[in-house]
Amino acid sequence: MGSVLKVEELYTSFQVKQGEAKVVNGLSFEVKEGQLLGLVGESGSGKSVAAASIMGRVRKPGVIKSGRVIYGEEVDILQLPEDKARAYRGKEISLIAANARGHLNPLLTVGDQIVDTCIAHGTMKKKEARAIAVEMLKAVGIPDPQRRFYSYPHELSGGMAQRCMIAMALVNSPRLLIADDATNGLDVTVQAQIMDLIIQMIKTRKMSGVFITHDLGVVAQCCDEIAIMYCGQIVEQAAVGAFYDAPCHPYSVDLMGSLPEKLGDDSQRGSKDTLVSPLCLPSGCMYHPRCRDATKLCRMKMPELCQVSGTHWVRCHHAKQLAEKGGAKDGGIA
Amino acid sequence: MKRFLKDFLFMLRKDRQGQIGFAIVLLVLLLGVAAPAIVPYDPVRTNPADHRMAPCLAHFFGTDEAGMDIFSRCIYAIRIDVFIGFSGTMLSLLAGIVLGLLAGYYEGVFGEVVMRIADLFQAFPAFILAMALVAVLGNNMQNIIFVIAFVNAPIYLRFVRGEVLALKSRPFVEASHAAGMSDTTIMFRQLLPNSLRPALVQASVNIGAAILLTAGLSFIGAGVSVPTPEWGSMISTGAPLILTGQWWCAFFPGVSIAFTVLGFAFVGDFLRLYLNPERR
Repeated sequence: MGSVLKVEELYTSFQVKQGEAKVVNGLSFEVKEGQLLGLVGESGSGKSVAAASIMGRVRKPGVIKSGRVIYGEEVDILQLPEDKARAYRGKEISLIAANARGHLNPLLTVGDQIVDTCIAHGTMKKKEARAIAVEMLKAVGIPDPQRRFYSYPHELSGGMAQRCMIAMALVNSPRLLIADDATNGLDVTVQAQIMDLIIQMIKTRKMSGVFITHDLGVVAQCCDEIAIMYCGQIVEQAAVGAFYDAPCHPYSVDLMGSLPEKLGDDSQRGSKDTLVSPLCLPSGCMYHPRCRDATKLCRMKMPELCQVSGTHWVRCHHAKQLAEKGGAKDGGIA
Repeated sequence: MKRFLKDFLFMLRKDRQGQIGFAIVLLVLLLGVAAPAIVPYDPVRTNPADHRMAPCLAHFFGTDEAGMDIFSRCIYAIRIDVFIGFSGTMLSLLAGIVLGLLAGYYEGVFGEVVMRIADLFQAFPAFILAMALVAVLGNNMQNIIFVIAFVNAPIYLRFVRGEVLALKSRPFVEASHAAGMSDTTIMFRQLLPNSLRPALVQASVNIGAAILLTAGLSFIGAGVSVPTPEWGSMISTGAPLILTGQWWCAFFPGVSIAFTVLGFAFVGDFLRLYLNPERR
C-alpha cells in the first residue's frame, strides 16, 4: 500500500505574551492508501492545530517551526509556495470541522457554496458544477436536494449543515479526508448517522481518512489504526485491535480507564491532574508529571517511539516491560 | 434574481417604515424623470411681472425674486441634487469598498498606508474639505460629484475594512482557505457580501447627506450656480426674503430637501434589516 500522507517531525508553536506555546512537538505519522487513522487525545493535546498545520493554515500567532507534510510520494506541502499549495487543499486533502454552521458562509446558499468549492479547482463550468452539487447533496442524504440547494445555512439543522459540509469536502473527490471532531455538538443519534455517512463515503470512494476525536468508542468502531496524542506528539500508535487488547503507554491506560463504563472499576485508573501547559513543557517524558509510574529516567530523558510488536509503537521508557505484562491493565509497572 | 426579488417584497410587506421610504424615493425619482411633463413653467424663465408671488393656483409654491416658478424649479432641482448625491455616493461607495477590502485583507504595510491616508482626509471637517476641493477644481457638476466621492470614501473604507478584519478569522473564511479558494474568490465571494451591510446602510443614509452637502455648497455659492434649479441655491436666494415676508422662496426648497433625505434614511433602515438574512 502506498502512503497518502506522511507527517514527519512537525513542530508548531504560538508566540503569545507569556512566551512560546509549543503545541505540536515532533508529530510524525503516516496514512496509507485506504486506511482510516484515529488521532485521539484530550482537549488541548494539539489535535486540531496538527490538522491546521497539515493543511498549512495555522492561524497567527501560530507558526509551523519545522517538519514535513508529504502528500503522496514526493510533495512536501509546507515547502510549496502558497498558490501551489492551494491546489492541494480541498482538491487532494479535505477538512471537515466541528461547528458546521459556523463553517458555512451565512449569506450564500449551501448549493452555491458547494459550487464555489467545485469551481475553485480547475475549469469546470458553473452549470456542470451545479449538477454535481445537487448530486452531492443527494449523496450525503439531504432530502429534496433540488430545493435544499437554495437553502441558507441558518435554515438547516445542525446535522443537515454537517451533511452539507461533508458534501463540500467531498465534491472534488479528494484522496484524503481529515475529520476534525466532525460530530462534536450534534446530538447522539445524529452523531452516529454523520459518522456512518463519513465512513460510508470514505469506503465507497476509496479514500483515506484521519479522524481527530476524543471519543475512543468512535475510533474502536471505525478506524484501522489508532494514534494517541499527548502534548503534540504521538505516544502510542497501533492497529485498533492490538491497542484495545493491550494499551501500553500509561497515558493510554489512563485514557481507557476514563471511559464511563470503567469508572466504577477500581482496578482501572483515570488520569490524575490535567494537561501540562504548552508554555512550559516538562523535561524528559512529557507525561511524567501525571504518570503514576514515572521513574528518574522519565524525568531526565525524552523516550523515543519504540516497537513493542508488529504494528504497535509506544513512546515510553518502560514500554517493553509494559508489553510483556500484557499491557498495563493490572496497575502499571511499579 | 427572482428569489432575491421575492425575498425583498416579502420583507417590504412587513415593514411600514420601509414602505414609506421607498414610496418617497420612488416618488422623488419619478418626479425628477418626468419633470418636463409635470412642471407648468420653464424653471429658468424669469418673469419680473410675477415676482415674489405668494403660493396660489397659478404658482403652487409661489415665485421668487426674479419671478421664476418655485414649484417648477423644485421639481427640476431633483435632477441636479439627487443625481449629484446618488452618483457621488455610489462612486465613494465603490472606491471605499474596494480599498477597504484590500486594506483589510492585506494588513501590514499596504493596509497601514491606506488607513493613514484615510485618516488624513477625515481629519478635516467634510464640508470644509469639500469647499476647498471645489475651490481648487472649479464648481461644475462633475467636480462636485468627485468631491462628494472623495470626502465620503474613507467612511466606507473604514466600515468595510473593520468588517473584513473581524470576518477574516471566522471559521467559514478559514474553511474557504482550506477548500483551496483563491484570494480573489475569498475576498469577493466570501468577505465582500458579509462586509457590505454597514456600508450599504450608511450609503443610503449618506445619499441624503450628500444631497445636503450639494445644497450646502450651492448655498454658500461654491456649488451649482443660479439660475440652474438647485435646492441649496434657491434657499440661498430665498433666505433674505423671509425677513420681508416672502417665506415661500426658501421654505419649499427646504421641505424638498427634508422630504428626500427622510426617504433615503428610511430606505437605509429597511436595508439594514433586509441585508441580514437571519432576520428575514
